Amino acid sequence: MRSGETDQELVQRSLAGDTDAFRELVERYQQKVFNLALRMTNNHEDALDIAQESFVRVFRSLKTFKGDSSFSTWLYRIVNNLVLDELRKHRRRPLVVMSTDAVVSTDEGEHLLEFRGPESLQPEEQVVRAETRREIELALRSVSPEHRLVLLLRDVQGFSYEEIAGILNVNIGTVKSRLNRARLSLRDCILRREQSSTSDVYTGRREAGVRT
Amino acid sequence: MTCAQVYEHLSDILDGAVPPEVNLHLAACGECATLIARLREDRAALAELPATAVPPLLLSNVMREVSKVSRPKHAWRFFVPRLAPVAAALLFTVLSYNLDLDLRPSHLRGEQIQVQSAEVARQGAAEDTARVFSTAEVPPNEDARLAAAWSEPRPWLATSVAGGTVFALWSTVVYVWYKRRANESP
Repeated sequence: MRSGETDQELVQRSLAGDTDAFRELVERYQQKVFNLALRMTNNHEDALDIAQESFVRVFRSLKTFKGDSSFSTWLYRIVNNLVLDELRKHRRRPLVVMSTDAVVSTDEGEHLLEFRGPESLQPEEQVVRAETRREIELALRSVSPEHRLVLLLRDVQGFSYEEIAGILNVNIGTVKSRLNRARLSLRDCILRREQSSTSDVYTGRREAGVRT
Repeated sequence: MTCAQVYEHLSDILDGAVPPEVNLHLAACGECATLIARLREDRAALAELPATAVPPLLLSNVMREVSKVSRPKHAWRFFVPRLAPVAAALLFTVLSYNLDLDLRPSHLRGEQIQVQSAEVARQGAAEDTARVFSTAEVPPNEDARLAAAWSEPRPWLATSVAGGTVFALWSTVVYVWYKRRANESP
């Protein structure tokens, strides 16, 4: 974020025909929007299209933006709609699509591209944490889109319950209960992956998780 | 509190909004305690998921589309103030030249007519001189002068073509100007 201007101020300037102001809005949000779309679709091309279309739609309808919700809520509503359209379009695709750019297969196994671990950690710890992240990332793909979306919005992108409620157009209670089910569902997917990859003794954790 | 109630308040528990009875249950129920601990780990891992770099193509594509959307408005704003006054001025010139328009207030026009008719009078019949100067009214030979003026061939075609050519040239200049400016600020 280069300038101290609020989103609202940038929206006003964009409305007055200042495309530089809109460019700054795009720069502010492109990373988050693109990554959300990428994790929802697991497809680089689709994510790029969705992010692009979202910003263009936002620009086209700037005049109708009243400012009663925040700019980000409004933007994410459009992103969410486009993501759902995309998923509907490709419903017959296999549920788990390996994204070619997020995970690379080498002789030593699968690696995440652009892994940015904290520099202070010892390499060994970094490997462990990278492994955990990879597990989470792969499990996340097995979770239903509805659950994946709330997990991404809340835990990955850090939106408040109120903001998520605004984006999804549901009340806060619904957001929280959906998140509860999503967390259990994710846990379930992680356990299933662990069980299929190792022959560990059944820990009983799975019984603690409620099937959704 | 039961395990089912814990499941219903997972988000609140993870957020740290923990009523005392939840702690009591977690202390007694190993399964729930483990579950909450695992969910905390999951949440931390999700927060640390690496972000994929955005392709630079995204910003450039968006801005290209945006400039397409906003161009008509900008084009209108650019061309109208530059073309409309010129068009109006040329139209006025052509019309006034051909229609012999005299838009000055009537009392000023009267004076000129007087002067003109005085000249006509000087050049013409000397006997009229006294009458022309004795009255401020339009002299009778003014009708003849206007009639003669109207019967002259009017340069409609020549002036229209000239005006149109000037306008076309100016439009070309403005268009080139616009194109150059658009290339400078994509």
